[in-house]
Amino acid sequence: MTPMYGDFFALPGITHGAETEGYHLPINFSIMKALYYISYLADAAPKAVETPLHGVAGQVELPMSSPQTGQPAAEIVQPYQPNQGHIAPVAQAPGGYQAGVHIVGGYEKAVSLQYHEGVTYKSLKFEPWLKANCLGVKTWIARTLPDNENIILKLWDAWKCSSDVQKHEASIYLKLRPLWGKYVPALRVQSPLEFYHALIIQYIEVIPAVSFEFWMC
Amino acid sequence: MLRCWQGSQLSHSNFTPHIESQIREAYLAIHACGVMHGDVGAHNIIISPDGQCVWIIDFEAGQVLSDEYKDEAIRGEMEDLSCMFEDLRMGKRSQYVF
Repeated sequence: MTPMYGDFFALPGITHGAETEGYHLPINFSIMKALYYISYLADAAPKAVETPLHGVAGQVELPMSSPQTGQPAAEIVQPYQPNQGHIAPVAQAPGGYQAGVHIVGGYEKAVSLQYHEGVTYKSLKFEPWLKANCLGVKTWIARTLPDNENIILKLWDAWKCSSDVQKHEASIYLKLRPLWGKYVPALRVQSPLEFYHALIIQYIEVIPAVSFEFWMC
Repeated sequence: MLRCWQGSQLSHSNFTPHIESQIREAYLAIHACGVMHGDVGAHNIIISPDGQCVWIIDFEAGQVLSDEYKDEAIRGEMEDLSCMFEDLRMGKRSQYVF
C-alpha cells in the first residue's frame, strides 16, 4: 500500500524529516480507512472560491493564459483556513515528485552536450502557449537568454519515451555534421530539460506555407 | 512529423525543376554520409525564400546505413523521392504530400 499522509500513528524508524512533514506509515490499513481519510481531506481542504461571471452567481470563471500576449493565467488564491496546518505538504523527494512535476531520475547526472559555441543555451525563453511558437507535436521555437537567439526545441515527454529516441536522432545529426547549415540544420544541444528529453536545433528563417488554421497545436 | 517548421515547406506551389534537383542533391549528400532519412515527405523539406536552398529536417526515423543493406535502402529512399516528385508534379495529395 502506498504510504499516505494523515492522522496515523508514526511507526518507529522513520526519519526526522519525514516525521516533521507528517509522513507516517499507516498501520492496519484498509480501504475503508482510506475512504475516511480522503473524505477527511476533502472536508479539511479550503473551499473553492466561486467567481460570479458578469454578476451572475453560480457560474465560475477560470482565468486562462493569453495566447496573444503570453500573459500567464492569474493565480487563484485559496482563502486561509486556520485548521489546515495538519495537512502534510507534498513530499520533496529527489528523483521523485516535486511540486507536482516529475523530475527524470538521474537528471542531475544525465549527459548534456553542446555542439555549438558562442551562444549560451543554459537559459531559454520558452512560451509554448503562443501558437506562433508551435511547429509540430514535439517541436517549438524558443529563444536563448540573454543572447535572444531563436532556436528550435524538440522535446520528448520523459513519461512516455526513453532518452533512446533523443539519443538516436542526435546520433543521426552528428553523422550529418558535414551537411550542417547546408542541407541539414545544425544540432546545437542534446540535453535533458526538466521532465523532457530535448534537442536544440538551428533555427531556419523561412515563411510558413501552411495556414495557421490547419495547425493542431 | 513536423506540420510546419518555421518556413516554406515544399508544396505544389513552390515545386520547380530546380528545387527537384536541389532535393536530389541533398538526399545524395545525406546518403553519402551513411545515413537514410527515413521519412521522405514534403512536410520534412524546407525551401529557402529565394528558392535556392533546400533543408531536410526531422531525422527521428533516420537510420545509419549498414554496408549489407546500403544500396537497397538508398534505392528505396530515392524511389520514395521520385514518387513524391510525381505527386507534386500532378498536384496530387498523398502520403508524401499532405
